[in-house]
Amino acid sequence: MLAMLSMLFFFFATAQQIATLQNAFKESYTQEYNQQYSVAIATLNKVYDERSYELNLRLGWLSYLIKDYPKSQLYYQKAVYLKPYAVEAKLGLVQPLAALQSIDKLLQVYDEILKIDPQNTKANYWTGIIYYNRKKYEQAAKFFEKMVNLYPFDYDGNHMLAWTYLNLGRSSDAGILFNKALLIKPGDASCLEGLAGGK
Amino acid sequence: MQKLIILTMLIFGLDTLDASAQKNFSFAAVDSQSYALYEKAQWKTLLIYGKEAIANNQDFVLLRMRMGYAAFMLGNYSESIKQYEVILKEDTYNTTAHYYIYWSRVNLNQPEMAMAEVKFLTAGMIADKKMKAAALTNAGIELSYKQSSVISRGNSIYARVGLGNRFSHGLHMQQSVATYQQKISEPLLTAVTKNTSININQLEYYNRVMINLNRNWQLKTAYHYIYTPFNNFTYHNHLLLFGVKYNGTYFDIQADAIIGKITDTSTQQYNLQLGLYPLGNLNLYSFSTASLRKQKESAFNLRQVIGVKLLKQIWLEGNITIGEFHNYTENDALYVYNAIDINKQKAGITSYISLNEKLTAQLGYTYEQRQLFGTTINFNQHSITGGLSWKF
Repeated sequence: MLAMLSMLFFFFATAQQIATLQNAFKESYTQEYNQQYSVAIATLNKVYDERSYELNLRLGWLSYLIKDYPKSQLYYQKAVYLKPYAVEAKLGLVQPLAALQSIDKLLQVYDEILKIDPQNTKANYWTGIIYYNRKKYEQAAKFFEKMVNLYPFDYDGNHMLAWTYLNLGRSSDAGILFNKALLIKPGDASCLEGLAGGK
Repeated sequence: MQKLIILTMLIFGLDTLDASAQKNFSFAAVDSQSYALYEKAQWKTLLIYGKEAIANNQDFVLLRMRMGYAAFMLGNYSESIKQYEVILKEDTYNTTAHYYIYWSRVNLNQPEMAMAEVKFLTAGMIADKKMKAAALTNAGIELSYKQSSVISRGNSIYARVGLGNRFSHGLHMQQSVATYQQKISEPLLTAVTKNTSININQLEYYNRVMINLNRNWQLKTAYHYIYTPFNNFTYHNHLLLFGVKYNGTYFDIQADAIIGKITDTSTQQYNLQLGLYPLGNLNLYSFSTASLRKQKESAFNLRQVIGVKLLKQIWLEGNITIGEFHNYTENDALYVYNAIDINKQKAGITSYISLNEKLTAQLGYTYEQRQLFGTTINFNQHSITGGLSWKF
């Protein structure tokens, strides 16, 4: 009888906890919609549990929205730690890292994403961009090529691969890609500049 | 009851005071406040505020960028390097950080270390010739006239021509050719023929190579050959230096060993040198060198150099070498004191005048007290040194 009562109490308590958590999440969505980001954070902080992947992920996002990038990074890092194979947490983490200009860490996170999901478009594109900015055109090309193979009619991939080829001295390949990008975005100034030889 | 009211008021008052004294160091507050100070060009305030924010665990690339720039604008190049080096831990290829570290090193008279940043810069950021891997870097001449207070030691002339170049951004060479001419009389040198008229026409070749290992560490090697004719004797002196140097922000430190043979005597000299830039620039600097020499016996010397910027283009540098010496070397074995007389005291003063961006003139005076060979008689030597150096 006592055991049954204990089980009933446990079940009741858990159900109440779940309901409280669901309510907090629901409330935070409404608050976020109304751009009350700090209020939404406070709502979730009331039910905060360090071991909760979902809470860390959500707080990472809300902290990012109020531009508290160090905190956002912290929450997302916790989420990454809790679910090491989750791509979404890593894709969240790259946002505060980019805002904080922690480019080395950013590259590392993209690299981790690509280990889990080699075809990830966002990771391929931004890894390419980082290498391009670092003038490592050979490396940048590998990532942009992957992206263009996956999305042959995408402006960003074609445009960046064209510029990368141009910097590698592959002018004719660059020309083809610039023209293709101009089909997607007719009259694009950057593509026209590239076609003129990047001068 | 009255006591309670007073106490409550007091606590409330203190609490209010504390709250007003506390600053908001949230990311958003630090970001906007540091940006506002940057926009207003309040460099000193920005540096102080940034340090406070970092102490309150608010540390991010943009804050360091603003602090690095503020330090640079204040002419505190060591501080600027310190801030920008933190950025490079977050973003290895940050071009702005490399650019200001480059100029900070140049302004701290560490041109070789500045070149460690060049590979990260984009075309047009600095002059094209500075971007080139191989180039001539500097040239210079030095002339010194030394007057002795005894007849047996004739007045002497030291002349040196130097040329610096680099083979790559990380490999630098400095070469010199020098002569030293003096006529001496020393009857105690019985093995030397015509010892009352010994013409010393010494010739020297010096070569120093510096290799940048990374942004802070340098490897140094040097070779110095001295041809010393002494009537019926001729000495071929060879010295080799191996050393490492760490270029920090407000300081640098070098450890080196010099081995070789001077006047047929094996010699070893171990140096530890500390350079200090307390203001983060060359307005005030100090170099202290402790040297341990092992020849027939061991000896210790301490050399202290202190430099100050007197006027916009003029520096004054004082130096003193403490401890007796003979067969002693200074400045990475560039200067070798191999006279037969023991040196008892040495001190000098040199002024450096920057004539323009590329040309620097130097004028100096050195006093030395020496002891005549084989006696206890001291004599004085006064030197006037002039020179010109050109940066390509």
